[in-house]
Amino acid sequence: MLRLLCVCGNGMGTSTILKIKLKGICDRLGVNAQVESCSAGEALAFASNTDIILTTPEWGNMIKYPEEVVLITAVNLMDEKLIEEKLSEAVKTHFADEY
Amino acid sequence: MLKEMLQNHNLIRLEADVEDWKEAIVRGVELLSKAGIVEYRYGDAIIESTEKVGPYYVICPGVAMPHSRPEDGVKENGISIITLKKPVYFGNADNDPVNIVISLAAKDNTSHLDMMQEVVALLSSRSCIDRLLEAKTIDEALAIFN
Repeated sequence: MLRLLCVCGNGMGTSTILKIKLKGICDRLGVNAQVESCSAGEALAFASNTDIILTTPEWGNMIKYPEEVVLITAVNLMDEKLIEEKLSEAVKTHFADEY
Repeated sequence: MLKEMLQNHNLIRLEADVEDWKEAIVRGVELLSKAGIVEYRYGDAIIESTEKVGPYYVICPGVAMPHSRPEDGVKENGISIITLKKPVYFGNADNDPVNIVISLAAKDNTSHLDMMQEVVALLSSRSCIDRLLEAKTIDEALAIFN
């Protein structure tokens, strides 16, 4: 199972929106994934149990996470097509054997 | 569900005339506080955190979803929706200027999920956004949730 983590400032709004979007995308792509969300401060603790982090470019530059975790950023959180492309590419590049 | 909340608590304002992003936040939070969803201080907390960490909550072109943490005066889960007569800049280079402000109050990061699903459904539809921006009456705005 692919473990996805959505991160934003306080883990309530932006990350929840990303989580909802991602769940929809994974369902459609047939990717077996667990999608969680958290605040920027919690990201490091959560990320030890994560394959891919999704966030905005600003938070992507600020949060700390383990080297092996793949980071995907999106500016327009409603751009499902772009998020889907980035996610598919990350899965193909980094997790092709596992998923 | 979202529709009933917006209707019953009078949480929509159309073509609001605001000077800048701060006034847009104040007006949005005012609706939430009148409805008993947040304490008045919630708006100050949002403005303060925006000044500190930036307007990352401008989530897609033209749409801001200002919010802060539960302990900053959130009493219930809820949102208010304001459309702006003239767009304002929040300082988010990619998604500015903003003409829809969805002020969000969430008690925790799980119980607001159903409400957020409806918000995402609304924002995922360009035609819904356009209808909201063109709405002249509250009933027209509420009709996008049908």
